[in-house]
Amino acid sequence: MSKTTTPAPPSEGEPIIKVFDLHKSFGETKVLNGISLDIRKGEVVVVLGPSGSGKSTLLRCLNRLEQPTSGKIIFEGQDICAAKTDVNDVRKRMGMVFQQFNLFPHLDAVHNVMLAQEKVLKRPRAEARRIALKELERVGLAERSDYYPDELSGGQQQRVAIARALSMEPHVMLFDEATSALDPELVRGVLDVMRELAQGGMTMVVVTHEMSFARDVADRVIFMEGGVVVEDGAPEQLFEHPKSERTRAFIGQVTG
Amino acid sequence: MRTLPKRAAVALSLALACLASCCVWLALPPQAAEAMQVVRCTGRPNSDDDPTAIQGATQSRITLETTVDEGEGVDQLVVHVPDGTSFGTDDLNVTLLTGDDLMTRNEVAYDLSTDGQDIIFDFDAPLSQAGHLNIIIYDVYFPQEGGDMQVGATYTLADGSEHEIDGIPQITVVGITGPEALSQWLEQQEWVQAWNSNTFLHLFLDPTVLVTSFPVVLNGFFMSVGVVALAFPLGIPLALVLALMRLSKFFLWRGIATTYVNLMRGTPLFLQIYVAFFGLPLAGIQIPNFPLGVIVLMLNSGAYMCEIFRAGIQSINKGQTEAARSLGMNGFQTMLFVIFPQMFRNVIPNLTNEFITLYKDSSLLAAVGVMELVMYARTIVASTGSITPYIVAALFYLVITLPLSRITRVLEDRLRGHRRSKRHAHAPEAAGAEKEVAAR
Repeated sequence: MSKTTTPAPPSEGEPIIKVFDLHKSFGETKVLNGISLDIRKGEVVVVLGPSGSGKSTLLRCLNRLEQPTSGKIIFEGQDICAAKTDVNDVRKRMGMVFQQFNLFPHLDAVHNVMLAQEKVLKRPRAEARRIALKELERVGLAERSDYYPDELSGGQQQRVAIARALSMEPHVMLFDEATSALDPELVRGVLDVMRELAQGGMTMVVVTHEMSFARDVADRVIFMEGGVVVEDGAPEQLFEHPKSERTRAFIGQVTG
Repeated sequence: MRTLPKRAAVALSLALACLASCCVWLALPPQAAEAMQVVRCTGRPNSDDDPTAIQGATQSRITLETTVDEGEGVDQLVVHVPDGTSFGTDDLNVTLLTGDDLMTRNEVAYDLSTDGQDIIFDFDAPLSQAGHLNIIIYDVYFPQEGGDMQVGATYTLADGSEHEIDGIPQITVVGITGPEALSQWLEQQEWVQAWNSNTFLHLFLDPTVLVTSFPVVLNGFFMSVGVVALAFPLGIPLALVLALMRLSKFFLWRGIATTYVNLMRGTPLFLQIYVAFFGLPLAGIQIPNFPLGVIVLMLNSGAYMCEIFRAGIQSINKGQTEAARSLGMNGFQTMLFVIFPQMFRNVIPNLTNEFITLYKDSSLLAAVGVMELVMYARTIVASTGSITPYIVAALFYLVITLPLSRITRVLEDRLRGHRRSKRHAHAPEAAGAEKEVAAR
């Protein structure tokens, strides 16, 4: 536990994550080619881009599920790539939701949400359960708390996964195509939870293909292609008056 | 045919009886009050196998020979068969031996009745000829547990006076075990005799050997199960460590584990047993047979289970690790709380198969003298010449392996299919609830 190295979350509007010239290669393949961006506290940033543009890799670098090849990521004043940084300490302040949910199939919903609370935050079992039930309630699944993942629909599983991440009381939530694996009729429930979360002031970085969500909820939209940020701006500007030709083409493609 | 020796034995015993009676004759002048004196009282098995040993629960005969005085007029004789001994009266032989050499056999006419353990002989004509009264009760089963059996006898004279015959010697009966009794009983059965007349059945499935070898081979069964019940659980932690080493990023761990697994899986267990049991003593390391057997089996199955665990861990979706790590769990916690529980559930069928294999392979320990199933069976095979004990040993393997492979199959089916849950009926409802949320 490195409490001293854990700074207080920055106040509203301050950058909580700063990315400097981030590069990532898988062998010969360059996926990220120098990304620099700031994410401010309370901001909802939606990352758009065609597949293979490096959106997911960027997200996974933010909590070091991928090791950046070069560049720097400062999270709450701390260089997360530094050798002395306790990456587990960083990750417990950064929730992540995956495309494939990745619930633990051997645990029911409430225990999925309790596990990391008990093992990482060392919360007593009763408190972990209380918080787990509260978070399940928040995603509308209180009555499904004793269901196993394979007894839940995809949308319900993803909401449990969100509750699981939220139970750690993260300062930032990362959503990696959270609705892409869902049947269309189940997408809405997950997006509603995400929207409520955004309205509650959570800092969110969202990789998605849901244009309506980007338009309605995002404070800022980043368009990526070929491992670089092509355009970065408010949703209205990006959707209505894109500066870049590539952005215009992409928006036209997915909305048209 | 072995009736000839039997006859010879009878003749011999009769001759002996004559000698003995002559002695008695000379030693004891007849007295009216003790007209009947015991000459001998013996028990003999009816079978020809071993006429000297009298065993419990074996068809035997009791021979009671007493003197009869001239003019005494024995009216009735009551023979008390020892308590706990069962008998039948269909096959009796009552003879009065007379003459100087007691070689004249006189049939005696009598009415027979029984009262509990008493056999009552009412003689049609009172016995008044001097001689020896010889009574043989052929259908007698002494108690299985054996012991000293006391035959009693009282007689009634023509004048109505009752007298007891004193000094009847006890018959010492050797106790036998239940299976031995069962075996001997079986031996008498016609269907068993018919069964055993077939050479093949007699050699491989002799019922009489089957029942006697069962309790002996049972000892070996406990031993075999004991070896495996220790070796298998001990092999699991070894296998887990090996599996983690094989999955390690550090080449040295990987190299050590891979070499070990390849060595153990690439050579016969038989060879490993030989090396351990003959090599270690030469190196001055003395380990008793049983623990050494456990160790060798543990080391061997550890290598096999390592591969089961490694495959099991690798089959878990990478997303599980990522999800656990993204929540801040370290590698150890992720392994312990997320990967292992799922892995174990998946590998249970393979582990059960490994257990079955190990249990069967424990028979190889017989080659180095560990007293396990096959070894026990072999000792009885050596003493009976029947292969039946090996068949009994086979049954003791099957009694474990068949149920376990059945369980394996059930588990595999369950893993392949969906979890059967009583909540499954709610699945459409769950989807419905989802739509409700979507409609909000």
